Amino acid sequence: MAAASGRRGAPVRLDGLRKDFGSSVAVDNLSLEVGAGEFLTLLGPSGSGKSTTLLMIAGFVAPTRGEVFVSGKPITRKAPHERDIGIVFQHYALFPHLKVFDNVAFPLKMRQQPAARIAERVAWALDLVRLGDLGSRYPHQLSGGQQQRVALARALVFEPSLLLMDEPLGALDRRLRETMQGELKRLQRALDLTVICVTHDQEEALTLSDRIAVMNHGRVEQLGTPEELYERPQTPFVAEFLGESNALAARVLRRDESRAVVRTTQGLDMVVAGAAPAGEGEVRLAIRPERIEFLQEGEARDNVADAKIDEVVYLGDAVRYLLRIPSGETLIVKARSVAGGGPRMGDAVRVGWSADAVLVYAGAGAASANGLPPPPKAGEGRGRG
Amino acid sequence: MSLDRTWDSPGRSASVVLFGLAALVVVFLIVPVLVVIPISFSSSQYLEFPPRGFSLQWYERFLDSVEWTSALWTSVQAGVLATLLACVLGTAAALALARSRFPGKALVVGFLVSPMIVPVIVLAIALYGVYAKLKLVGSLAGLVIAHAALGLPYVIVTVSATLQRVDERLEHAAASLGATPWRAFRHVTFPLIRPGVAAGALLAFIASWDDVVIALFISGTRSGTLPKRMWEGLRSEIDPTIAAVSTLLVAVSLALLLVLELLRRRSARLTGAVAG
Amino acid sequence: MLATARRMPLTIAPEHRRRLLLLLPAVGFLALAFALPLALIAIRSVTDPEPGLGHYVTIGTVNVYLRVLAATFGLALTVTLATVVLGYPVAYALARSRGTWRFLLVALVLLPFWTSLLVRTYAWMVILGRYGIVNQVLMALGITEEPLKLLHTSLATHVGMIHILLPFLILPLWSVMTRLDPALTMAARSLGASPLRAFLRVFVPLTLPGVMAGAMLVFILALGFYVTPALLGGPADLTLSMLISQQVSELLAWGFASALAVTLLVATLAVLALAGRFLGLGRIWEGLD
Repeated sequence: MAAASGRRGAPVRLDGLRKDFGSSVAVDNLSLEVGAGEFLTLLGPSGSGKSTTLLMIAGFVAPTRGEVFVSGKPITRKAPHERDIGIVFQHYALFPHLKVFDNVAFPLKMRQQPAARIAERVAWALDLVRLGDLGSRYPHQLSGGQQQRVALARALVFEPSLLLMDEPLGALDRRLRETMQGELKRLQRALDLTVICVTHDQEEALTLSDRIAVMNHGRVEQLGTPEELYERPQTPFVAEFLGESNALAARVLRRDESRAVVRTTQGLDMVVAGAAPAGEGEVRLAIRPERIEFLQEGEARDNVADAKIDEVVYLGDAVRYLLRIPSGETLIVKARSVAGGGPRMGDAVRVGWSADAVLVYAGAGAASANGLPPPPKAGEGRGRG
Repeated sequence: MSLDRTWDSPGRSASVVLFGLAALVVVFLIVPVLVVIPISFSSSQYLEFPPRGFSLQWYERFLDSVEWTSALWTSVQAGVLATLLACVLGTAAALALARSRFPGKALVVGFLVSPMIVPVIVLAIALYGVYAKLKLVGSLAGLVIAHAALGLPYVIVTVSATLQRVDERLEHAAASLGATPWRAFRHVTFPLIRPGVAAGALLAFIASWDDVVIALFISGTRSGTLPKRMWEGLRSEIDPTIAAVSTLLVAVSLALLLVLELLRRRSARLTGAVAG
Repeated sequence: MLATARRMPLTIAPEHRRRLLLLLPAVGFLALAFALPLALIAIRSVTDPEPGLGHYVTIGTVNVYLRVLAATFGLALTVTLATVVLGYPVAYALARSRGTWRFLLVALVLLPFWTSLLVRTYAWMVILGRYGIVNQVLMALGITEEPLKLLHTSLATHVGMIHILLPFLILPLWSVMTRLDPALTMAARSLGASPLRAFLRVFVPLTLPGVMAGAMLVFILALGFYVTPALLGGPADLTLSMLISQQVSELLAWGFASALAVTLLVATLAVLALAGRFLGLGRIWEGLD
């Protein structure tokens, strides 16, 4: 990476961005700061506004309101070609009529660089992505992974202050995706790039990002490091979108300083850690499947239930069980797979989970699964906090 | 396109009926096109079938006649100029229409393609009325303008269809890499839609080249187009020179058809590569 | 995500505004070279020689003109039905054929399509003439002693127009057929339908929109046909187009010719509107390029 320039990625600030399409709001008052050299991912289902946000940063969609700042300067009124932002497009958008070399040289030609300089920079960029000898091929002669690298080289060769990526690995198969994830991360660190990435793939988001913004209905549900989001999802939406969760509706029966007892709609009582939210006592619970354990004879946990195994799905390194408990609830349990062992379908088992494995959210039942309450204040001690 | 359609077979006997009918219809379609060819080489003075002997006399007569050659020249000029005009206007319009959505778009599109469906005779007398006042009857300019209007929809439809197959992200990519709108068009969009523009141009040319009715009204007696001259020939006496002209026209159609097929393949290759 | 972006905005997105300027030359050109002359015709039809709707009253009440109108519609309708019956098997054969066969078939359909309308009309004059191919064959076979009068008859007009318009039905229909999911007929077969039933109950109904689109196109084109009826038809087979031409070039009756032209235009647009209502306008253009 010796040839990399000394230029650092720029900090980016989105200030109150909003986009209306007719009467529908695609992005709603989005404010966000991305540090210089940070890898931030906008994660969300389709229709959450993440791609529109990306297009607004790139300049292809004009925001209805709000401002985008790069290095502290507003760029909202600049045309896309004046913004100096590198973009790796979904499906790469390599120019099919140009050879790899000319694809990568394109931004330099647009900037009227001398031929010698272009040759040198293109060679640098192709080396960077380890494609040094493929310059004379056409894009359709390359594999998916190679096309991905060309797209990356083309977006980096003019040393943009910011790199945007739209589902960068979506079109690759699983093995290739893992290799490219490592490669992307290596490049981003080495070149100290500021990256904003859009994806609906949680695994991609978790492995690549310094921070993730989970988006839903045009708003940011939660912004945090991958670990924070997974361990302490602040809304049921985040809990369910990132990883898997057992979602249950419940009512608070009684509470004290540090714990509360709740009863699910089906009548299962459980102890939860932290002061349950105040109010009518209607709450929603989320329990990660891997936090529920099978118990041996005599073992105890804060919460214990007898159950029958309805379904067993073997995943390789883990096994996923669907349990039915006498009150009528079904629970998903994920356990590490054991050679030749483990419970089977139809077995009667005992499962348990600790009070702090249960994440508690205010609000009633599934009715508000999408219309979300405001995020809890820090230190209020909800969930496992 | 390479879907297997054998499952759509209605069974053997019904297939035989369908394919048999299709064969008959195809013969019906092609025979008239081929009939004119042998006649054009006839050595007889009359229109006969089957023709007697072989000669090129009708081709000679065509080439020796100022009436015919000047008509040919008028047709070529009008066709080329009208095609150029239609291509520039049509490609620009297709670019504007391709990815934009705006209120009333359907109306604008409808207006732009309407020369395709307005009966030519109506347009012909309408233009005749206006041209008579503007002293444009019999002028090349008048013919070019009218024919460009006829060809414009073909360019718009073909180029729009090609643009739809060009990934919008390619244009976004060009812009993100620093290309101004003009340079993005020049270096990315245009090379990709070139086969479509060429196909549109061919169709626009044919629209002009084939037009009889408008030429009948607005081109003058001495500056008539080839179809107009043919029409006059057919109305008075059927002389085999027309067979020679017809054969030449069939050859031109065949050539254009082959060019169009090549363009189609090329376009499929260029835009098909995007997905890969 | 994109689903949201595709929704029709109520106002023009700013990023598209400048691009729309590219529409102006084409729209302006057509407004002057196409729309304006048509508008002038419409005006002339109610002002020449004197203001009023007199010409339209004449068209709507005088028997001769009503008969021409009916004949024009009748001709278009017969030709359309014939192209549907004859064109469907060809489109089907195109959709089913592979490789060289398909290439050959396409060429055989496209070559006539691309050949000048005059050339094809001329060919029919040669074929149907008094000493044309048909008559020679008939006489050689002893079916008739005297040559039959085939040219300059209504039959000749029909044959010529069917020949010229067939590709306009075949091509869009073929494109609809190739885009049908073959899994649908396969599903029908797997559900117990015989090949013929699967064809009649699944394949044919699914291609009906293509048939309708092609038929509408043929009908609209047939309404305005001029060259073929004028050259192949007899003096009795007057169509609206021929009447218009006659009024202008022989009688110089501009006002009346304009009214006839407006009538033809309105009839065409009405058919088109009907087609658009039931099929969506876009369908009509596909397969044409």
